[in-house]
Amino acid sequence: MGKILELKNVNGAYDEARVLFDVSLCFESNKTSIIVGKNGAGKTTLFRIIAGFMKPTSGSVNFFNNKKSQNLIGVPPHEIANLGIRYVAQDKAVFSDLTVKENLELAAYPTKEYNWDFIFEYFPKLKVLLNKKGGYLSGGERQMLMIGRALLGKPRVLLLDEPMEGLAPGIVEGLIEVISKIKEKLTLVIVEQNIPVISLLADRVFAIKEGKIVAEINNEDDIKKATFESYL
Amino acid sequence: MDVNLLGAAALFGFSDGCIFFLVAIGLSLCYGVMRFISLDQCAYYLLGAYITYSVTSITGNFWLGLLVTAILVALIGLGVEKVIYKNVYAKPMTYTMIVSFGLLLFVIGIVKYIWGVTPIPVGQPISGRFPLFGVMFPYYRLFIVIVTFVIYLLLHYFLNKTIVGKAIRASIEDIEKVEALGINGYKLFRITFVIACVLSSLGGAFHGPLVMVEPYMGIRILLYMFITAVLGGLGSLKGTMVAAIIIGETMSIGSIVWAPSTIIVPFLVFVIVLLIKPTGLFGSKLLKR
Amino acid sequence: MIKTFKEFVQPLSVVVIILVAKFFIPSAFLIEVMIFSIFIMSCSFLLGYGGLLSFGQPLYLGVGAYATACYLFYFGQNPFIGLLAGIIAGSIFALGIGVIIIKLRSSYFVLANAALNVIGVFLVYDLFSNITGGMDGMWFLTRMNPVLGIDLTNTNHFFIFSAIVMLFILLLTQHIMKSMFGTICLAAKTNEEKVRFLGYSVFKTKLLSFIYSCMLASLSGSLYAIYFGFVCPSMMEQEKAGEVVATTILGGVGTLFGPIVGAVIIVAAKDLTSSIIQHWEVLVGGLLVIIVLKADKGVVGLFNDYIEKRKVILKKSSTK
Repeated sequence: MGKILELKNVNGAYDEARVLFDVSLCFESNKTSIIVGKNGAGKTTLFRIIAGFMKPTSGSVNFFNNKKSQNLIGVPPHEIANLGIRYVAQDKAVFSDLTVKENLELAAYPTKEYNWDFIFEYFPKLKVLLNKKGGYLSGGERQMLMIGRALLGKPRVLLLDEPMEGLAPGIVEGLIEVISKIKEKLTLVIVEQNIPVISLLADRVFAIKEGKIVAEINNEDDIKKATFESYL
Repeated sequence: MDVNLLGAAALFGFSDGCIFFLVAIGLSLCYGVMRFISLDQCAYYLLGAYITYSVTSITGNFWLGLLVTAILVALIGLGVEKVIYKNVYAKPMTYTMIVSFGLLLFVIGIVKYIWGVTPIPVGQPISGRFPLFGVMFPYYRLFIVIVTFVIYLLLHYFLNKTIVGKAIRASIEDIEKVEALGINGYKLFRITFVIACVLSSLGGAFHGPLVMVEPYMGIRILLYMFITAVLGGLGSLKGTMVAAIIIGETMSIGSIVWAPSTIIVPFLVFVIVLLIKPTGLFGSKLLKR
Repeated sequence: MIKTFKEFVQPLSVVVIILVAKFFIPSAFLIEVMIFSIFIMSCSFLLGYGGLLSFGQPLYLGVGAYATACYLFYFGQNPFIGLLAGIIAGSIFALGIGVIIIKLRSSYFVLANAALNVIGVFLVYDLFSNITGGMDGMWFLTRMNPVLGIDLTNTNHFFIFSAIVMLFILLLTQHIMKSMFGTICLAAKTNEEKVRFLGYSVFKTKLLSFIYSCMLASLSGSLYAIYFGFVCPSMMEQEKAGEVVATTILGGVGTLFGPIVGAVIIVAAKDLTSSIIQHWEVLVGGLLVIIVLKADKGVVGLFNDYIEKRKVILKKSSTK
């Protein structure tokens, strides 16, 4: 299998305020890693750095593509996305003035992925909502659309930032089901605070506190046994 | 008050508004996509007036003048974006305003150098008037109104029916999400910017025959352009059109009531609307970033 | 107020240099530099600490100038009181305007200020022309009396007076920049939310910065008025705003001495080349573009960076 994404000694800061301190992480190909941590611990910053929306003050981010390693720092976000690293942000913001169909069209445009059937298999509701404008969707529907858009990008790595946040339990169940289906096919990195989700989906768990990685749990049994409250 | 005078003012104000639309829509869209205040749109307006005038007076053909203007300004805009603006995106908004304003001043200086300071009266390419609602309305102004509406429809089609246009609308909402989908936001801005420059230059080309063509046109239009764009709501096609008509009409009708209205009324309208709805008439996002 | 001797020494040395320079350089040039630099400080402080860009500072210069002029033309003959009138008028005016337009976002603010400038000029030369003398302006040179032996119509007296004012303003501005208020201003520029969480009102902070800046602009206007004994609408025309911004950026935004450096360069350039006046747009415009592209910290900013780098190198070599 091998590693697909590796961060080494990444430091991140907003102007003078330092947020990430010497973060080193290694994500294995086709495995699901979950990052837990309190709000403000630096999880979103980490994703933004990987996705190219922010430059780290030091450190390296390497993407392993067909045995070649590529440094992602300084690469524009759209190029990183086209390399196969797709970022689904926390804010559940789809394009509100565009319809669901148009949102998906935009996502399909760079990759020319016009076969949308698999998206509708995962999220049948989206098919019904095709002509509805993004602004009129519920939270859960928007999350489905965001993930659907990301999937149209032929991702090899999917970065999900708190996908279950603010969603009704029924919808969370549905999402867990979908994620379970796709987790075999690509590398997932999920930021989550929802504990049952962590035990269900994670192959590996990283805990982040105040910008530093404080724990790493690789064993499935350990994951199921561990209490994550201390990190939240 | 003379009803005919009022009617004339209203009709003339409408065509004035169309010019404001052409100049303001560029600013509005550029801001929407990249949060970039392109004050230099006034420079392209100015160049539009002068280049069209020069080509028309040499070749005698107004349409050729428009064509040459559009092509030249498109190239200039492309050059400006590649050489200057590419390096300025990361800086705070105040710096982008300063750069674009500096560029505007620079172009005014160049225009002064090439064409001189003397105001040039430019003849209307289409002459004659026809009776409309009891007013003798110039064909040329009717032409401006028609062309503006055609452009409006084209823009509407572009933004709503083409994939590039939809991407532009999406980036007006959230350019980062567009980039996250793998679409190059900077390319989108480049396209938007060049379109903006061409539209502004057309605004200048059409406005030239209505006012005297002189270098400081570029500064005088600045406030009206900005007020129109902000009043309509930055990034909104419909908003800019409505705002442009409002500004054009209030200025025109106001000027027959009280001469200083031309500057005071638009500003008042602007302040009142913004105090009630800070995002402008049809705007959906507060100026941010 | 003055914490260390060093803090006092820098502004003092600048003023001393100016005083000494009088023996070599015409006082007209030096006076112009001093007054212009106070005007530039207005724009620099507003942008550097208030985080607000203004293309309308000439308006506040005009308020100060005309307030002083009106006092000296209609009421009294004490130029010092005239000066005070200008400063007070400018501050009150800024308070009134600021309360309305500061709530607006940065680019609306630019627009509002510029529009107000245009309207202000119009009011002066047209609507209120019976008070202000319209395009002809107001002339009151002979109406200014000496006070306590100081005659501001005398160039030498005025020169020394300006130098004292300059010193005072430098010290005052430096004090503000280094104070808690100054720190909050800088914080509010980059992160308004955090500043609010700390319990400070961003609006009040920006409003105070605005009032201070406009007070500086009015002060410069009043000084011009007293120096020339004359005011006219072209002193406050909006077209001058571009030059003001360019000089601000050139010198170094938000620095204490940036405005002086910028003023020296621009006033010297204007005096030395008359052709500048003809082509000023190309030069000012080009200058603005180049500076923002290449050196947006201005002369003083670059100098400060250089000093910092030297300090780091010195530290490194001393620890070895």
